[in-house]
Amino acid sequence: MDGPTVALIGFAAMLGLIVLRAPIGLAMFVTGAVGYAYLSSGMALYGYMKTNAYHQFANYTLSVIPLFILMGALAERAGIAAALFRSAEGLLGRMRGGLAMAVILACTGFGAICGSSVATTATFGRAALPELRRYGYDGGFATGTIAVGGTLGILIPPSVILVVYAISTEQNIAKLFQAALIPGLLAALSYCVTIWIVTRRNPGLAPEVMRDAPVRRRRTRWMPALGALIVVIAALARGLGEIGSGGALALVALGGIVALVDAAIMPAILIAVAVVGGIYGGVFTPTEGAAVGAVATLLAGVGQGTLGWREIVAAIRQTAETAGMIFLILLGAEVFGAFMALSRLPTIAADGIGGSGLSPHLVLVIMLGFYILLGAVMDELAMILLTLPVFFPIIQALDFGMPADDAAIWFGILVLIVVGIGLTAPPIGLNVFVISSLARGIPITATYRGVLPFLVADLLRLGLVLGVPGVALWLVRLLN
Amino acid sequence: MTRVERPEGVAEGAMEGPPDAVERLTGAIAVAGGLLALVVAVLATASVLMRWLFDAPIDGDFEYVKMATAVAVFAYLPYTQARRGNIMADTFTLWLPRRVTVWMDAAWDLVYAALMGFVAYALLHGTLDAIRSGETTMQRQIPLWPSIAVAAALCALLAVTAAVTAPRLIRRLVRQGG
Repeated sequence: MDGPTVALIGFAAMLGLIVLRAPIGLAMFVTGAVGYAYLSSGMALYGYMKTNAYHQFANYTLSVIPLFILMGALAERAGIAAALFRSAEGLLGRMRGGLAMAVILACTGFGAICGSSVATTATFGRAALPELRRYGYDGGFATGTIAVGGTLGILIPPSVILVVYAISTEQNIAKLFQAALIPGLLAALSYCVTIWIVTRRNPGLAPEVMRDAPVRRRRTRWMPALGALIVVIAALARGLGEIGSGGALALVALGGIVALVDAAIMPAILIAVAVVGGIYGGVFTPTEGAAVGAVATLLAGVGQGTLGWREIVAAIRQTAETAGMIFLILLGAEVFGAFMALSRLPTIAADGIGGSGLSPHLVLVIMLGFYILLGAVMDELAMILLTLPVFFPIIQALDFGMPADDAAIWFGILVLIVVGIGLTAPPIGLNVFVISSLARGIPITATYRGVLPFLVADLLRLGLVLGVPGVALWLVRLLN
Repeated sequence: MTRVERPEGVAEGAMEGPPDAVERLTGAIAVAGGLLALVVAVLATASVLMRWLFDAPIDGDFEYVKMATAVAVFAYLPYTQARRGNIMADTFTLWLPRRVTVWMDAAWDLVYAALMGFVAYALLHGTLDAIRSGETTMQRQIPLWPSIAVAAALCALLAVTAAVTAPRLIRRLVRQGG
């Protein structure tokens, strides 16, 4: 049998094992190892295993993942999500649907600290759901909003999915994080607009304006002045050529935040801006950024008295469980990827489709459609790790009228958007499952009904980024 | 699809009991790994600050980060298995009686145990190779073999954990009268 045939059989076998309840990472590992041994030899497989399992994990770029997970877990235990939600509630709570918008706004802030959508969903399920229910929000609308808000955990950088994409395709993490920012903020905005429309068309979902909505903004007089000062310094420094446009942009953002936000959430915002801004500006590598973020979150939590030894240990346990789950999949995908490379299926597929004269955009749309379908029944992380070894060379072989590097980043953002859809869309949306496990008494079908209007917003955004790649690439070009 | 990162305080389904010895032991090892990761995070942060303030970073700090990550991740894996946190798709087998699916899960635990036993064995040989060749990291010349050896040991622990979680599943099934 030739390589590609073996690879196709391997694919089918792996899916078969998954259907038979094999853990996904294990299914990839087993079929990858058997295929590898078949195409080369048992000895070659053994030689590959001797150091690969270690070197696969002793990878500087990969170490960003457990560190970001740790940062998010510490932030969660430190009560940062709850503080963000209270602050957003104070800002928007009086509007119809305002509490739901507050969830989205707080998720946006939390997404800049946390790189996982499941963690974001679980965190806000605890921090915001009781509040939404108390003020009489419809159950399915409330859980749907939180499930969708949870996707902002990955849509707003940092993002574990983007790191995995970057590693799997050997792209620059910092550039992908840059490209994700504007589409991510657009997502948050479009979710708020969706809430605005939905609650006006169906007032039963959200209660009448709440006169007694808590306003808990803590502001000080000097903060707006300090913020303005930072903006002025940024403008001066840029004018004198002391800093690049990236640095100036980061400083202006920082100034705006200092001027506008509530004191209770300052630490969270400062950490988010420092980490994401530092990665954007090249002050540190993404791994260093994640380390700085984890340490800063730890210090902030300990300083505020919200993180004790017990919470730190709980955060580490949670990190261990999640990181262990992700790394088994990464290890399995690495072995499966080695098998695929040996089979030459990816190269042959890329040459075949690249030379077939099919419209590049048609191929791209078919791939994204395939992802939406597959994402409906499969874990998103495993899905992209499995398909990228074949899909990515095809994307790189096609001509989208832009440099191959730009196409790689643009494709990464498109994949990120469809992953977000897969996390909330029926029949299998991981975020929906997470929120359902927290919301006893709200049927899962009600949550899916709550999610549906947001899916329209997601598809519109997907179409926008597909039609106008500049939405993703503009910031990358500006900062590099 | 099973859950990831099961939120705390959530009822975990009938299969789960209170943390048993396996979960406590692997949990302690995972926490040790996590503390190691926190230590190198502090080191990396110090290096960033020193580079920024004094233009004098800690040389080769990334080599510690790499090693610690590998060791930490190997320390996490047994705990993930003990908590049954590895993601799998249960959508296709919902129609089967619980008795059957539990036996299937236990069988996969044994496959996982065998595979990780093989990887641990391969890593042991990798360790011996690294001792013989005296391989070190590029910048700080740290010998590689100790961290590979720890990884091999933790991988062996993972194999044992997976081998132990299989009968645990069956016992819990029997206790529920399956």
